[in-house]
Amino acid sequence: MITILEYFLLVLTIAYAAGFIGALVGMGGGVIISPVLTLLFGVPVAIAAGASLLAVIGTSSGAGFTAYGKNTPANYRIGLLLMTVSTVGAILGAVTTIFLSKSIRSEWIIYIIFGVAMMACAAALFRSKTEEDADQAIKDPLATKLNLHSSYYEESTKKRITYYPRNIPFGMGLNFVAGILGGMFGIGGGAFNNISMNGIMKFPMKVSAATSNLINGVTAASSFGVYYLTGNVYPLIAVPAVIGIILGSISGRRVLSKAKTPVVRFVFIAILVAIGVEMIMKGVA
Amino acid sequence: MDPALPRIMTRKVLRYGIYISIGFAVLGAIMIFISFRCINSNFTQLISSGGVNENLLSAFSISDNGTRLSDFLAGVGMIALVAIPIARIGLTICEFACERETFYTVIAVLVLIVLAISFLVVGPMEAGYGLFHI
Repeated sequence: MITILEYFLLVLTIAYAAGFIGALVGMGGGVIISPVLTLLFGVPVAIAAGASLLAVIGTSSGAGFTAYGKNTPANYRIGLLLMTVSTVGAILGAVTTIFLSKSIRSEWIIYIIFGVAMMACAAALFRSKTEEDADQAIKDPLATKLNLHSSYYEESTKKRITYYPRNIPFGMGLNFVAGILGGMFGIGGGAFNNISMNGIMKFPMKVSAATSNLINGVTAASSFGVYYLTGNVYPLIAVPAVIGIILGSISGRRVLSKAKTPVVRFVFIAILVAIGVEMIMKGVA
Repeated sequence: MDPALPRIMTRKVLRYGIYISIGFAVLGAIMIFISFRCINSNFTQLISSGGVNENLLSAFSISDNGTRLSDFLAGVGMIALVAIPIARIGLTICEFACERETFYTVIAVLVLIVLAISFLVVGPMEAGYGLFHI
């Protein structure tokens, strides 16, 4: 048995940790909040997603202080381009979850698909190389036309890194899928944002993490509207998650600019695997 | 307009938006504790298979007024929080417009339109009639 007080304190603590890691890797703490509410506390998926989306917006806004700092690695142009597809996907995802949540049998199938997708992405990211030395890269004509080539100051090496992204349409396609999954499970789509930006479009990990923070808040807001208006947002359930995650994300952003990319990458992969295993187990059970 | 102004405004929206939303969320949390008869009540009982047990939720609270106030305060916090990314897009439109980047100004407007569709079209439809309801 879990009392209301225990729920509050546990979720507050977990949300603080989620906000901290979310700000660090730019994936939104909802990726942790949503499974925790569902798996540990038995909260129905749609209600957990509604609370989790608020938490994602909180993480995004808390970490946003960094994005508007002097040496921000965030790329606003690609952020906007990806938002056009991720927001549409998120609305579709939210509508799908509300529809599927009426049937418990469908929920288990969705859990397994989601878990397998997360594991596959973690494996793909583990095998791919980071593109921190992107100065040598060939300039993609579409990325040039869209004015997406840019640079940022890498604090750990005290060097300015210039990067030349590519594979923009493929990356946008994945972001649409990211939006759907984010809207379905209330994870904001940040995990897939990083994969599409870093793994496919070859943005440096730090750029993708900072830009993903910008995208997450807007994507989460687009699907939150659907959950809120269909009565799936309960203050009692959402409040401790929101308070914890905002405080955690404010702490996390202080570390973001000093964090070394391989560490961020390792944390990111480990979280993806953990969520994938959790989701598959939930689906099989 | 000074091209730096939207970015300065965005910093302020982020800062004060977070302060307002977390302030109201904390007030809402305090009111939840005040208005709920026993914070040692079984939380898991509240969660039935289909959703939150509304009858039990009412039974746990001292009075409707207390519950309404906690919901109102937490609700204001939520709205303030959701307003932050929407305001950021609005300010991004101003930023790119000031820099005379027409393409990205249009893209930002498109994102704002999608957000409006979610809150003004899809949400109400799903709540009222259901887009995919059979």
